[in-house]
Amino acid sequence: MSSRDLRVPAVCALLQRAAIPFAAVRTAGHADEIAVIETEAALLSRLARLAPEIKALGFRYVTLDLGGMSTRHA
Amino acid sequence: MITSQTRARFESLQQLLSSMSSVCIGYSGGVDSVFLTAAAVDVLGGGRVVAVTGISAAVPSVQREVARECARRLGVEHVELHTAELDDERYTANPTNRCYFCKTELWGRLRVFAQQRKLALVLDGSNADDAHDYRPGRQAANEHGVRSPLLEAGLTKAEIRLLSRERGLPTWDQPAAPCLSSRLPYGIAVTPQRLRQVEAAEALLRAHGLREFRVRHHGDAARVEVAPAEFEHAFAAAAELNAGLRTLGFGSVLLDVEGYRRGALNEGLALVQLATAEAARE
Repeated sequence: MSSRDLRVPAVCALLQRAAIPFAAVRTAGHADEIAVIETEAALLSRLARLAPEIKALGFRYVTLDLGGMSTRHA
Repeated sequence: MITSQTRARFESLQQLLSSMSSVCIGYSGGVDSVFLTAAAVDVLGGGRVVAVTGISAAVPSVQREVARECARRLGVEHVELHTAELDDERYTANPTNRCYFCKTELWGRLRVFAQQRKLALVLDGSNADDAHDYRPGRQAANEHGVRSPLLEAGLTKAEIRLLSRERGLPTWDQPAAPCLSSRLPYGIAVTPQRLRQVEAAEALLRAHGLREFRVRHHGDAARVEVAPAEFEHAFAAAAELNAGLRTLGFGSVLLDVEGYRRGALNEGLALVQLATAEAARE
């Protein structure tokens, strides 16, 4: 497993430690530079606060998948 | 509030303009170039000012319409010139200094136009804040002898917006509107198809009432940056936006949790330059 592949489980562990429920984590972009998280829209602000830590794992951008996001929001 | 410092800078701008016999303004229809054009018309009179807009597939149609309407309201002669930066491989390769090749093309054509029309100077709408950002296009402007009166007068973007509102210009609160090529990450080729995709995607967001946003083209993925104040609005339209952008050819539609921010593609620029160089060697 390449070092790049280890980023996804690392993000999952980070989300679990932060008690942020999520359905899936994957990568996207030409260089897999985007972290894609499937979770509820209401959790966006918490994800935004975690973005620096997620980026430190090797991503340039942290995103929610609009297709996998619940339309329920606070 | 307009301070005495802002007034002094505006007077400095007027004095600069009054020293010019006639001008050709690189006019995008954005906040800065509309303000500069209005100031030039006020000082020199409409007969000595020509506003010129460079037109290519990288210019959003909506911005072109804004430029036309503002020129009409100002009563200034407005010319649209075709620019061919998409025929330049150095531009379409989309390097970090892409804007240098775009502006080289633009200012080259405006210089020729100005000479044909016997206009003394070519001006651009660069402002004092631009000196602090990464602006490779400035080198092209300098090489072509383009003057930047707003920058020379020390006027900031905020001051230009305040003075624009005072002048009654409709662009005073207009969001920044860079060309469509800015939606593609460096190193990803600029193609007419990709430009059309992002333009259509942004038109969709606009149709849903969003105002400050960007759709960044990451190949199969569209990464959407929305101003944080508009997040709730985006959530409410999530299903429609997801479906709509997928019909434009994007396989996934992603909302950036950090929201819209200018210059986001310049974040980690040193790393991008390294990655681009590595990709070129593969």
